[in-house]
Amino acid sequence: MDETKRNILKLAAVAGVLGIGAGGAVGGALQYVQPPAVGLSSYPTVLLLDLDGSPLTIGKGSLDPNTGINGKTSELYLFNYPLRNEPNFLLNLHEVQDYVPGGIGPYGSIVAFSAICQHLGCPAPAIAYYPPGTCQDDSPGGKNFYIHCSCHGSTYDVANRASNLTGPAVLPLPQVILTAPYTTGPQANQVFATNVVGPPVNGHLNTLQGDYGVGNTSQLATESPVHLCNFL
Amino acid sequence: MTFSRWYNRTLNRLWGFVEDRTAMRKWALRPQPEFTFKPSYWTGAFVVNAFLYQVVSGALLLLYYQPSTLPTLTPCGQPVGALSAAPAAWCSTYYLLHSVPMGALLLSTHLYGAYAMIFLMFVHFFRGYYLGVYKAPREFSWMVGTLLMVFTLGMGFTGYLLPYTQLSYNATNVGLVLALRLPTFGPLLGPFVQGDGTTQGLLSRMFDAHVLLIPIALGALLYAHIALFESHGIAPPATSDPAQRRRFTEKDDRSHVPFMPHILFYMAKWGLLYTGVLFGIAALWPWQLPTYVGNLGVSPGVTEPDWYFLWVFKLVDFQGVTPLIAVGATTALIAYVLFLPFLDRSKRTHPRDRPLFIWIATSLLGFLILMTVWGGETPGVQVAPMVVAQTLGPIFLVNGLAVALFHWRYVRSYRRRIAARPHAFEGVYRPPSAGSPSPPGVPERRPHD
Repeated sequence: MDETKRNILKLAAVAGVLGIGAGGAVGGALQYVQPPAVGLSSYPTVLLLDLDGSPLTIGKGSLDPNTGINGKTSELYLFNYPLRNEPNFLLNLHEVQDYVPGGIGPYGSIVAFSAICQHLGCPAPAIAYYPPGTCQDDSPGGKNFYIHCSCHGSTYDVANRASNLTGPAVLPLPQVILTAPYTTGPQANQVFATNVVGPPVNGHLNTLQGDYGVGNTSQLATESPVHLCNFL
Repeated sequence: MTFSRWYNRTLNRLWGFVEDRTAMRKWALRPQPEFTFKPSYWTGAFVVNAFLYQVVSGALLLLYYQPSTLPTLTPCGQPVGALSAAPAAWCSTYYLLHSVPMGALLLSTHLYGAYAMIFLMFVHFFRGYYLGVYKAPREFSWMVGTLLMVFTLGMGFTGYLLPYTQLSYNATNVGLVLALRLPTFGPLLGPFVQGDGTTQGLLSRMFDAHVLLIPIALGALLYAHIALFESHGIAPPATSDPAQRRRFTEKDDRSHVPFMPHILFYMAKWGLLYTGVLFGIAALWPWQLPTYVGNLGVSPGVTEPDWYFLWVFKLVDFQGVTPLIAVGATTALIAYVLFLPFLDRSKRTHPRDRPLFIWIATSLLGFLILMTVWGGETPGVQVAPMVVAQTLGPIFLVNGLAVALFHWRYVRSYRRRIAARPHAFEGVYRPPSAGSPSPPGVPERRPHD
């Protein structure tokens, strides 16, 4: 074997070793900065808890038709589901519209939607429910009650699966499927979250990934909304 | 031996010893021509000065800051020994502001210092753009400067989240989702920026980027920027005459002011003034910490980023502007600035000789100012395409008309002057004819001048 050939082989061997080493280092570094995924494998059935920590029950506490949440309160009722960093609105639209798609309760008016805007991920209270009369001059899509995000002005139709009414967002808000399966017994009328339909929660590649699960229960919290009118 | 003689000799000996062992005189940076000793020639030094203040104040803030989303024992309103309701990141910031001596001053000056650095950086950028300093041989210097600009804004973005207020958290999310919503690229980028997607994952990464990764990049690029400046020297004053640019280099080497101690003292003077003003502003208007992430009792107010990102924030308010368009436009703008030296190829540096690029510069300046004010006045308010055109259009049109008119007048007037005195402007407005000798003092053309 002559010297040129030997040198070429040497070069190839050295380059090969260096290449494998560099490739391994880069590959390892790329793997290192992407930590193991955190999340759930399927949607859990989660019992919702009222503000005082007792099970959320239709007709009582926050869901009392006379004193609880209704379609005219601007105060936000939020719970996390299915992950700890995925807040959702709990709405009872009874005062403004009954029998909305996916609604539960005696009037089919209790619904829950993701409280993270589908445009650029602003969470509640930057995105908030606007009861009738909040903004006199604004009625997106002819609606006087809706969810509106103050970040860039997207509005969503709460009476129609939070489909997009106006604004830069194009997707609807994900809807949390609520059930109250028991009509009698100790768990009568208690509200459970069982699923989320629609697009992934914004900021998550998948609604089930990107934080730890909430556990078996998830408690309501209230928050004052950010209301910003004159957006159309 | 009198005392003063002894004193002077001892001091000289000590200093001589240090100087001998360190060769300190060789550390000195390049001497500068006398006429450069006015603020407009030191805009870059001001940015460096602001950067140094950020490094020092940032290192001190790090003594107390806790980059965690969990509750902490550090007191921020809760009873002694109880865990805080607020995340540690916010709680330690609150503690720093309210309990640590000088903490409020340090944190406020770090924030206002960041604003000052970004503002001075824009001044430095636009000055260089208008005076054509990016022309040969300073192209790489300009490109490194563009990267410095991007990384400095990156410092602003990553630092905004660290106090962990609802406002900063929401605004950071907007920036992130802008990136994550990009087709194909977004989902790939996600895990690198967000980690496992938890708020702690995000905070850890932003913290790492803000205190370590970006500062290292900034330091390295700044070294390159200064090293390139050292090799080329100060850019000649803007001129219509390429020959004058060449003559300048000769002059530069003859009349200079040494770095030690003159330039050092000159910069120290500006540095002290800067720090003094910063302290004054921070003492008069200490920063008020907004409420923390997860505090449901207090409304965070309308989401908006710091002023230097308001223009992007407003851009997304325009109807029809998707994340792809917003990120694409920003990337195109950065690419334009980066490759500007290879787009504006004329040898004349005076603004009056570069109408197209001056039109772009002034339009860009007007665009940024208007968008910033607009974003600050009505963040999150949707804008119809017609309103966008009516508001932004005049900036480009009026600028274009002004530049065109001025250029037309300028071309006419110098043509008349050339007609009157054909030899005076030789080499200025047209290349010297092959037969005529160069005027005295003008060296022959060299490459890259």
